[in-house]
Amino acid sequence: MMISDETLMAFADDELSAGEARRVVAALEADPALALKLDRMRRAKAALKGAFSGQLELETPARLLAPFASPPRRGASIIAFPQAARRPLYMLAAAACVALVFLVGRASVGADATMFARADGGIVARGDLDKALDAQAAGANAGARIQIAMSIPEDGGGYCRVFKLDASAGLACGEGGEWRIDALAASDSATDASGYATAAGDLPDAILNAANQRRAGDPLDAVAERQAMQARWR
Amino acid sequence: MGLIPRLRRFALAMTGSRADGDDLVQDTLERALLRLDQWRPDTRLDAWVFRIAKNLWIDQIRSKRARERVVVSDPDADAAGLDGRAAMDAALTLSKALQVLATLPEEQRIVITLVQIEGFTYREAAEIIGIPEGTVTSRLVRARAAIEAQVLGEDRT
Repeated sequence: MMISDETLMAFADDELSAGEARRVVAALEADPALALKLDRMRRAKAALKGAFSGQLELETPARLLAPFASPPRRGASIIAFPQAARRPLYMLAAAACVALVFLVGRASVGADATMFARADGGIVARGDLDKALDAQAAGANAGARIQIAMSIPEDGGGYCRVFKLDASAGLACGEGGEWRIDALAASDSATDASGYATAAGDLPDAILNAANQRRAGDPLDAVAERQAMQARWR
Repeated sequence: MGLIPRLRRFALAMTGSRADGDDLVQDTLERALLRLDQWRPDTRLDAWVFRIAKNLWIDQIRSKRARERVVVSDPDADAAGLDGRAAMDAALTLSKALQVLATLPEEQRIVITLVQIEGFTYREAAEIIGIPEGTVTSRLVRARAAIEAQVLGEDRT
């Protein structure tokens, strides 16, 4: 049976359907020359890929992070990535999720499309994060993926809440019935094995600074927080 | 793995040089942030960014070629430093790999880099480049034959 170079290559690249792949396997068993051809394809591929394998381990030069470091502009929020850059980088909230993917990879919050959505040039909470911001008390659910660290009153009667989500921390403020993500930062201490993290000391400076800028008073105590929650944070 | 290291690897393979590659990465990130609202969150961010990088690189090549038409170019200089028929050790060094890639036509180099180094599927590579999947396959077959001949020596079977 004739197997074209295209088909053999697609086989080597795992591009064939199961049925097509079986056909190639049968042909390979019957044709040593074809098997040799496949072997060459695989060796060349492995050699080429291997030559570049060390490239992902290199540290990213600071100048490549510069696009993320533009100063806050109109309606801007503070985002910091201390672990990636060793010093805070400031950028627009609209770029926050994407920047997290850029800087810390898919494994982090950036891939979590279920927790965030883009809206009106900003980012709002969705899914479990939205629910936790609505209804989870500060300090509750120790060890859960989403922790609320504190709730703070805002000028004009609204509220902001500081949260931790996996390896990130953020500040969300109520606005028009949504929780707008005002700041988001990768947290150095997020791998704390206890998972119990309500102390402000665990939070990245950028988030605390952002919270400080927004707050119109002291963080709510448990009673005041419950009242605010029952009043739907308005 | 973060996107920037992958983007740097892609740019290095495409441009053949660390400095040109990082310049391209910087331009790409700037443009990506500028056009962030054009990215649809339901699509792969990496493919979108790679596509920006590819387009910027192609633009650069075109303008470079336009300049080189005025300046007298020396085609032999491009091929210097590589004996295509020399059978190399199968374990390729990075510089050898870059030399091998540099012998390929631009469009083949981009395809082989996306598929073999970056691990995109044929369909994803086709979307990034903006060509039909069949064109990806035919470019890959040609690129692959050229690379095999250089990396493993001519097939004598």
